Amino acid sequence: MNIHTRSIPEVLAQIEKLSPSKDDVLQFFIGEKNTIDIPKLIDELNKKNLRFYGGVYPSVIYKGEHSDKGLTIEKITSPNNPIVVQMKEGSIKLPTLNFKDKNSTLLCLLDGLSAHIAHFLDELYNTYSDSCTYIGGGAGYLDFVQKPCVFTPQGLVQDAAILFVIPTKSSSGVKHGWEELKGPFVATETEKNTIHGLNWVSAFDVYKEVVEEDSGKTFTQNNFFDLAKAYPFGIKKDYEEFVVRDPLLRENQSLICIGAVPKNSVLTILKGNKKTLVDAARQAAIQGLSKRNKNVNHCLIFDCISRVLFLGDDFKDELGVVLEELKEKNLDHIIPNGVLTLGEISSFGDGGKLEFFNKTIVVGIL
Amino acid sequence: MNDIISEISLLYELSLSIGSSLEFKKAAEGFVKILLSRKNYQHAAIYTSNGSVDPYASDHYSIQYEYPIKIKTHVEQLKSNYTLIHHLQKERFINVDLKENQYPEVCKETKGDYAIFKLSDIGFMVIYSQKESRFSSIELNKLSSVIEKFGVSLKACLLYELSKKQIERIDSVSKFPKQNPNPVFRISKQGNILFFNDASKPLLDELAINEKNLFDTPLKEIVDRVLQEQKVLDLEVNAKGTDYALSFTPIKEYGYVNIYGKDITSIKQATATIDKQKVFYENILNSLPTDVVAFDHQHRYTFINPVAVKNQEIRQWLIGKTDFDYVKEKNKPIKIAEQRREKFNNAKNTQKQYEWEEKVINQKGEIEYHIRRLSPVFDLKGHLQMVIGYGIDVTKLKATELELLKAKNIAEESMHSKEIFLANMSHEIRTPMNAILGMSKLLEDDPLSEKQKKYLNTIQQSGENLLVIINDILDFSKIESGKMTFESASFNINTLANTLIDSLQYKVSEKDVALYAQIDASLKDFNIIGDPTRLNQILINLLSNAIKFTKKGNIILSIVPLRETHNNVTLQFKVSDSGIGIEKEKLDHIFKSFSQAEDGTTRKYGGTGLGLTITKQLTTLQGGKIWVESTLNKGSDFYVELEFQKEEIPLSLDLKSPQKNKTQEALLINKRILLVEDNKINQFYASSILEKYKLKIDIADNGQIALEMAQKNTYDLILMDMQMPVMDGLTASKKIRQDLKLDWPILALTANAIRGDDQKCLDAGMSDYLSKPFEEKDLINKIITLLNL
Repeated sequence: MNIHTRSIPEVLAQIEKLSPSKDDVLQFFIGEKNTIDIPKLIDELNKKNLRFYGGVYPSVIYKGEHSDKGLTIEKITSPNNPIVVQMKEGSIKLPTLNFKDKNSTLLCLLDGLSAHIAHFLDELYNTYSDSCTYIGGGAGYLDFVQKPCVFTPQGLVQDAAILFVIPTKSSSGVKHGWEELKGPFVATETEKNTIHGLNWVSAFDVYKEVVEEDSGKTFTQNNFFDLAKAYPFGIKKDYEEFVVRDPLLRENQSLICIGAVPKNSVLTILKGNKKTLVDAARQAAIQGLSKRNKNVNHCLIFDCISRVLFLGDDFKDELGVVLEELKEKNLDHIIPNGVLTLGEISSFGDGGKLEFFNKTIVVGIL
Repeated sequence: MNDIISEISLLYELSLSIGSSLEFKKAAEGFVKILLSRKNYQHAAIYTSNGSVDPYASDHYSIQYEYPIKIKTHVEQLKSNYTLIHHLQKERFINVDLKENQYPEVCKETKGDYAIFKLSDIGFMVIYSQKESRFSSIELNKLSSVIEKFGVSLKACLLYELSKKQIERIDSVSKFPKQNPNPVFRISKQGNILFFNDASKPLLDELAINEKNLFDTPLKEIVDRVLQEQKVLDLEVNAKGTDYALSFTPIKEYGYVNIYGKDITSIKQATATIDKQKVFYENILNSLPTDVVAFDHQHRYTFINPVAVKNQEIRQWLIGKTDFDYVKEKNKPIKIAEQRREKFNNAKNTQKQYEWEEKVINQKGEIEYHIRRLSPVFDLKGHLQMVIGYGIDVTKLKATELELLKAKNIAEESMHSKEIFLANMSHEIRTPMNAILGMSKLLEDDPLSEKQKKYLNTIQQSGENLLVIINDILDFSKIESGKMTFESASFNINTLANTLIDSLQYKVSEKDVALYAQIDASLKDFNIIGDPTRLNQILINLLSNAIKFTKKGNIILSIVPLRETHNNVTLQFKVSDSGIGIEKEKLDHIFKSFSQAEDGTTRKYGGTGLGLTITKQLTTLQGGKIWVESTLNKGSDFYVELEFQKEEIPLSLDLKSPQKNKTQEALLINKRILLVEDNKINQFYASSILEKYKLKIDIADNGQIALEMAQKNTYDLILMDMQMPVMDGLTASKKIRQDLKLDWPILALTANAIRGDDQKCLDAGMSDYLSKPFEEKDLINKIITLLNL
């Protein structure tokens, strides 16, 4: 259910309409420009003894639309309660979760601007590994200022992740459509999500040379992201798509990305266009639906905000192809619901190590 | 070409992730996470032989690192003879065919693919991929070359960690001597200091300043000697006021000497204090005028003071030995040792102090007496610690004691003589008095001329005065000898006082004096418990005095209860007169023996001067008090305060009149009485009374005759004198009861007013007694009572 409102009574009225049962947990996606008073909303929901969780994202997706003022509510049936985990360095104690015979999906909404995402996901995979499939995305605001952005009945928090076990195995398609422009480059000097050096020289110099040559444009003081959004990095993986890292800012000669870049990792500078990106969205939908097209209840989309920034008005095509593929599988009654994210979470295919992606669309079929 | 570059760069990334740390876990993590991420594998586990981690551990293989830990596809411990270990000796890696899984212990999944790589000589690494396609040989070869290096780096990590542990261990061990609070230092053969800890500094400073001060011989020589003799040498030194005990320990193989020291200052001080205390206590023990010894549990001497054994050599010799050794050495009878052992065992077994007197013959052959005492001392658990023996020579005391005993016997004998004398005196005086008073009383009944009556009156007055004097003297001597006792009888004070006043009326009948009693009305309601005879005596004394010293006016006996509780009452008796009074200065003296207010009083008014003394004694002996208030020529007030127990008068009590009535007297007629009496006058007096009441009388001159008569005749009652020739009254009474088995009432007629006679009479089987001189009515009343009439 998508509503353009910031009125709590109206939200509560809509929830009435959904008539959630005790087995239902309410999932809230809130666009960053929707100014609803979230703590108050939490209070009201708690008064009604509802089970819920949610996140504030740059934009919410409902059907073929996306809106930064929208608010979507979805009813998900699960006996499990959402759990909040603080993300931090060092050992993170994760709770024992109720996964049934590996037929569960672990939904993870986390603070997309936290510095501890890579470590947290390592720990997450170390603890739960192949007991479930994973899907999720980084919440937060597009101004890249870290603020409380995920919530449960316990409150609205930052630097935290919400873990919610859905007792259904999901099938995810993970694609981005970015193609190799130039590489490989070795990330010779990095620090978490900052690349200081590429091929033993300063990162920006290498990047600048490639991007300016291909685009015919020049980096100025203020246009870094305008140019960089079309030229992300890809971390090379055997037999799989690159894991994309979005260079967001330039700091002197260093490049700051969303998501960690390991030292000595082999990077490629990627380039994309509308066609490859929209095709990738279709592939992701196809991939997601390929293993699961019966008893489908939900289509969850975690799509990178930078793809919108890159595609502009054409972004509606990206969502359009997903709708087309659902229709193709006679699942047009399923309304895709999702968010535009600061980083996407999935394991490739049905297993494999959990990754934090950028500039990627993850289509999850549940 | 680009693919190859990509491949190489990926291998490059993997290779660079090797050796990122010397810490095993970090090194493993750095490589494995990159490997799984870039290759999209699901799980990796690193096994190492336990021996490569800890040289003392078993040769089993166990997991040292895995990621993610959730996937448990292995067993924790693998034996070294496990097939896989054997196979890996020949191969660099093994691609496991899950259809014919040879290593299910490490490859648990049924789908996907496993590859196992040898890790140098420390173990192996298991990699799992979920992909349906199997590892290609090219991939395995590529990985093998990288993992081989990884194995070497992990080995380096293990060695590093092992050496770190060893260093830590060595370091911690090396801290022992450093942290030792006692001095530890090492000196080379050449005399150089090779090692020292902080605690050694004062010693070494002293050594540097003044070696001679520390050791008598140069240190170098000591070290040489110790190394040569290969024996630990212990020395005590003092440095800067601290005492040290040093153990020079030769370390032969390295040719140096370790010196282990200990600060013994406090121990030395404590020892000195103990020594001092020891001397202190020994001095005390040695200077005691008694034998003091201590024995162990086997009766062996552990301490002997010089009083016990004077000779120091013998004293020392005796320590650890027993009395048996001692008597043998000294040629003394073994009996002494045996007796002492017996006493020792007694004290030990009973766990109590044991004391006895020992008679010994000294070196001069004289008899000595010793009081010996054994005190067993037990520890907290009740085990015998030692037995302390004390001995004191009581020979002199013993002699003194004997002297005292003799003196006591003499004194007692003399006392006894005095008692007998008093008894005799009493008897000797009373008997004639009895006759005098009795006869004069009988004479009253005969027709006499006025002149004769006057003579008779004088005789009676003088006799009565004399009797009072005699009674006073006897009472006084009784009090003086502490033989005065008081009975506890119930009586009514109202009755007693009125009777008393009545009986004294005749004395004032010829004077212009009114004698009467004022008794508090409440006193009628209860009886009091006390000695009515002695109270009577007190009041008679006071009233008689008042009568004596009052020519006209009033004499009043007033009795009031001063304090009263439920059980007790304190009565105040006041005898007021309007007589001559007593001078203030004399008031303090009048209660003293043989004292009257005026020296001439006795002569003028008569009396012994003992009356008030006896009254005071009788009062104070009963816990009361007496005092006098007087004004010269106006009169005197004598006060007596006495406390009595109260007793309610039973309502049904039949108060018998002390006077027997005529009916009872009539019943006396023809009763047969045996009068046993040696004195003819007394025979006459008694029989005169008895005949008056028409009793039949037989007379026996002594006890013997009485026995004979009692066998022949039957009597209703026997009157028995006490002191008689041939057989006295007590013996005769005993025989009548025991030999003749006769139960006739026997009334003792005793002149012995000395305490104890009454009881003697009753003990001899007599029924009652009557003191001589007696009055007619008293005798008759006693007879009536005894005959149950």
